[in-house]
Parts: sequence; structure tokens; C-alpha cells
Amino acid sequence: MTAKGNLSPEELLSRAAAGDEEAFALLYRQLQGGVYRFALQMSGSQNIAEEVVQEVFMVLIRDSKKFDPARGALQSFLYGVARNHVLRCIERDTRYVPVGDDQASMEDALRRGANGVHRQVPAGDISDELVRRETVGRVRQAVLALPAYYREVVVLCELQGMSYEDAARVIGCAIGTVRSRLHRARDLLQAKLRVLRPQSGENGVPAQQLEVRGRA
Amino acid sequence: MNCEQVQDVFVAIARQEGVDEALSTQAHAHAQDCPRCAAFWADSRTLGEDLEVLAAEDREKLAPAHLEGALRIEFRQGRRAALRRRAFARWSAGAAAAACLLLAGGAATRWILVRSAARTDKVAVMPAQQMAGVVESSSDGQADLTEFTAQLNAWENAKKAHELTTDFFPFSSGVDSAPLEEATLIRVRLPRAAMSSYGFIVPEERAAEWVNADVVLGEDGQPRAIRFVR
Repeated sequence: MTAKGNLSPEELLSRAAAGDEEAFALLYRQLQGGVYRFALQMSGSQNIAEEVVQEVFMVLIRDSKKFDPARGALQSFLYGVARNHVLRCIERDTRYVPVGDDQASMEDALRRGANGVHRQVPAGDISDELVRRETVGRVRQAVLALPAYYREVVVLCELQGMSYEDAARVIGCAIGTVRSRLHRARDLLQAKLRVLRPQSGENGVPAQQLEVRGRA
Repeated sequence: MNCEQVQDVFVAIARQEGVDEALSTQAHAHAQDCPRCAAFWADSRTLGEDLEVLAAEDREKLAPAHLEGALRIEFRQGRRAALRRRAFARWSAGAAAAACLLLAGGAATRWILVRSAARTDKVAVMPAQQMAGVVESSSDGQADLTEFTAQLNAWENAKKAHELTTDFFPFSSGVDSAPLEEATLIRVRLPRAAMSSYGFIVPEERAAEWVNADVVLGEDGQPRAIRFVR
């Protein structure tokens, strides 16, 4: 790793703006994960998430001067750009009905790991893995069902672990607004999850898990 | 602590925000006596765990590797375009500076020429019909223009030595006769017949011919004197 690896995103951006491709690549590697996950969790679509990542970094390539360090960290700026783009994509895509098995392929993609390979599960952990997957699917479904302005605070504050202050900067609203939206979003999520939660079978084990155990 | 405050504390605990121990104890004490807040705490904890499961599931997700390659290509192309733009901007700036210098030089030369010409006279062309009306409306004048017209005659004689001119004949009717500090000399064309008003003999057959004349205009734009040029 070169000394550039220790540079902050802002310093890397400034080098990239001067034409340093290696600095740009390092900056991309540092920040693309967060932007990608944010877009994926907001849209539930791998295609949209890829498009958003591309658009966000194209903004840096085309016009890095749009970023003003006085207004916050580079990461917040990128999330802001990503947010605007993902909302446009969601708005655009609501006008079209998915063709083919898009939903199934999206769910399959979401189950894949970082390198696109299905997670390897030890045989003894199959039931735990099933519970975990069921929870992931249920929570993701509940999050995606939230209105966009509640979903974004849940994604930023709960899933991305952002502070209220940073989330407010990304969304462009007051910290109090983030706090109250998150409060309301959690209420809505709890209500949705109560509905989506599977009926428990014997000893509180989900019915789906019992069925799998029976087969085993 | 009311229910709303307690629930805020529970949300903060569920989000692992590092809530003050005393506040946490107070909130839990409240929940023991408040079924609504107790249920809220249970739901918050479950929701926090569920969200954590989803966050952990997505934590390692990254954009596909091909995106980095595509963006690096865009970066190189953008860089080349920026270099081209910069070179063009430099060239444009140089060209603009050269053009400005040329324009400034031209303007300065013109200004010097115009200024030197303005010292001797200011010549414009007034429509002949308008000037004819001025001449016809004037009569024998006694305006005190002697000194000024003498100066003008001197300039004109020096500049237009090849032209034959009459003396200036002042207009007097309805015109301010105060001495002039600044005046404009204009060249006009008049029917020769107009010369008869100033005592020149004009043959009838040549009365319709056009002759040149210089008219002195005062600062107020009114004609003050006229002379004929051949």
C-alpha cells in the first residue's frame, strides 16, 4: 500500500481532480461500498444501486468542484448525490412494471456476498441460517415498503449507522426532523414487522424452520 | 419522565447511542409501571435486533468490480477532455489578448487622428433642404462673431488652402448673439440661389446649381454664420 492509502477522502479527491488516477481509484474503493449499500437498501434493486454508484462517481470525475468542504464531509456529499439520484430512479421505475423474474433475481442478488458468491453455510447451522434469511427478507421487505422519506432515515441512521447530524446533512433538513422521522419510521416498521412476522410453531420456533427440520 | 421521553431513551438504547446509565435506569423503572412503554421497549429491542441482522447481511456488499474499470476509463477520458479544454482555453486567452491589443492599438490611433482633426474642425453633413430653410430664414446679421469666425477662417485656410471660400456671414434673426466658446462647423450643399441673400449675383440659369457652404453651429445647435465654398 502506498502512502496514498493513508490520505483522507478529501485529499484523495483533490489529487484525483489534479489528474491522479490512482487517487481516484483509492477514493472509489473507500467510498463505493457505502454508496452502493445505501442505494441498494433504498431501492431494493441491484441495477439501480449500480447506476447510482456510477452516477455519483461520474459527478466527481466531471465536476469535483461541486463538493464544498465547508459544507461537510465528502462522504455526506456523495450520499446526498446518491439520495437524489436514487429517488429519481425509484420515481422513474414506478412508472414501469418489471418484466420477467426480476424480483426473484433481485432477491437472489441480495443474498449473495460481497464477491457475488452464495454464502457457504455449515450443515449444522442450516436452521439458524434459515431464520436469519427469513429475518433479513422480512425486514428488507418492511423497509422497502416505507415511504421514501421514512425509508431514507431508517437506511441512513439504522442500516448505515450514520449520526442524526450526518443524516440531516445528507437529506438537507434539520436534525430534529431526522429524529422525528426516525421515530415515526420505527413505529411504522414495527407495525409492518408484526404483520410480516411468521406465526410461531411449537416452542416458539417459526413454522418454516419446523418444516425444514422435518425434512432433515 | 413522561412516556414520550422514556420512548426516546428506549430508541436511543436500541440504536446503541451510549445513553447515560441514570437515564436508562429511570426509563426502565418507568416501563415497569407503564405497560405501553414496556411494550414499546420490547418492540424497540426486537426491531433493533432485526435491523442489525439486515445491516450485518449487507455490510460486506460492494458494487460489482466491472464498475471500477468503467469509471477509470471515464476518468481517463474526462482527464483528456479537461486537458484539451485547458489547452483550448490557453489558446483562446492568448488569441483574445492579441485581439485586444490590436483593437486597443487601432482605437488609440483612431482617437489620436480624430482628436487632431477635432482641433481644426468638426464636419458633418446636414440635409440640404433643412439648411436651405435656415439660410432663407436668416437675414443680414450683426452678431458679434468676428473674433470666432476669424479663428475659424484661419484654421480653415490653413487646412483647406486649395478651397476658395467667402468670409463668414453671421445669422442674426432670433439667434443668441453672445460670443461663442465652442462651435461646430458643418459642410452643407445649397442651391446657388441662396447666395443672392448675401449680396452675390447669381445668374438665373445657374440658380438651380448646388454649391458647398460651411455653417457654424453654436453650442445650442443654432446656426450662427455661413460661408460659401468653391
